[in-house]
Amino acid sequence: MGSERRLDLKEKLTSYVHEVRQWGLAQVAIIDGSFVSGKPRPSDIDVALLVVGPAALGAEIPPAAESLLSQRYTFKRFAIDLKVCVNGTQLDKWIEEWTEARDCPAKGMVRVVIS
Amino acid sequence: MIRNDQEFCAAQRQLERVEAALRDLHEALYDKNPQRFELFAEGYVADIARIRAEIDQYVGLSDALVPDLELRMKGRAMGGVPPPVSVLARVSEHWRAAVSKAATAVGGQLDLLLETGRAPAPLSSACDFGLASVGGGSVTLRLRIPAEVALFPELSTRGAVVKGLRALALALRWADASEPPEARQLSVDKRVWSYVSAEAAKLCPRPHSALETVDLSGRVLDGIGPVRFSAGTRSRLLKLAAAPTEHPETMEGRIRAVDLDKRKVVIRDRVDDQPDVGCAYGASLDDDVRRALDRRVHASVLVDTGPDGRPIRTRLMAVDLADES
Repeated sequence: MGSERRLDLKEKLTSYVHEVRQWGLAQVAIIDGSFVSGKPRPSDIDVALLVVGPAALGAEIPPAAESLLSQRYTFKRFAIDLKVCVNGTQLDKWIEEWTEARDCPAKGMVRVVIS
Repeated sequence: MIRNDQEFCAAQRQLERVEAALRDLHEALYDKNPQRFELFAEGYVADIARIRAEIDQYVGLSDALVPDLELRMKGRAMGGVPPPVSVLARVSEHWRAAVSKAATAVGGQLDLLLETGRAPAPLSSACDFGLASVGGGSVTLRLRIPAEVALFPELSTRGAVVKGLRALALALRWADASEPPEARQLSVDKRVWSYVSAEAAKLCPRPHSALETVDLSGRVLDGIGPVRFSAGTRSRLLKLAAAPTEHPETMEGRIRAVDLDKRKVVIRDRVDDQPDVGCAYGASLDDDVRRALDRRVHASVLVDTGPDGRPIRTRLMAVDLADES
């Protein structure tokens, strides 16, 4: 499964998680999509991010941190299709959503603990 | 893509879940910080749009929603939301004129068009397209062509309009090719093709203008595919349109005013008092022309005409002595 594209995506994901951790933005990330499947050339990474702290409460955060929570920005820079959740209910909805993927009946997900 | 009813049901469940998650996000965040809610909602909204599009496609709604023609104009100062009315008016008028003229030319009435300078009224009016919608960002116009009148098919102009639009799109698409193959595909002669190319050039952005590119898509382009054109396309089309087209003709008259150095003659005293015609000829005709001086001849000529149908030059290809009686 170690195609060049997958390695490139892995590096992007690592950088993203590193930056999110630096800003203390999130607690956990669920990773899904073709990246965690057997697809030889995955196109992007689906990430549901459980945001905590000021970001989740709607308080002021630095623009650089805020951009990491923009789906458009993360898709462009990290090839991450981001779903931001501010509570466990939303996160569960995305897990349920991805569990019932139409094109891939049996697959898992990856849970990354960020903080 | 949804392939069967089972996947269709799954997609509906997915849509419900994402919408519910978005509602939950709204409840949790909107009152605290509306901008933050909009930011976080980006991923949800993108998924909702994607799933809805898949459902629309599966139930056949997409085809009904596809506009006849969509123009997406990009460039400096084209990002106004909403776009200025003046821009819409100018663009609509250019398209109305170009499509109605192309439809007339392709429909076999080029001579009428060259004489009057305008398309017949029913076609011109049919090309006053309905505006299905206007989008900002880049300026997007979605146009609707009048539907066929099933009860009175002879009154329907849709077929002619679509033909004109497709001719313009083909000209725009193939502006790079030195010999557009679609001229044959359209079953039109080179004069019509030149005319359509000249009309298509009028739709292109001019060099250094605020408008840089135009993308065309929509139902009427089925089989042609999306078309993009720019100022570069315009100059290529103008060259294509200016390329003279040849018409062989036979003229009866008297060979006069022979210039043996410049290899030029004038055919005078033509039948039915037709005007004198100056012709150039090649070295291979030197002897024939000398023999024919001041005599009545049947001259085979090639007339090169411009896009307006007027002769640009005439070349003498063969000359046969005619009966003087």
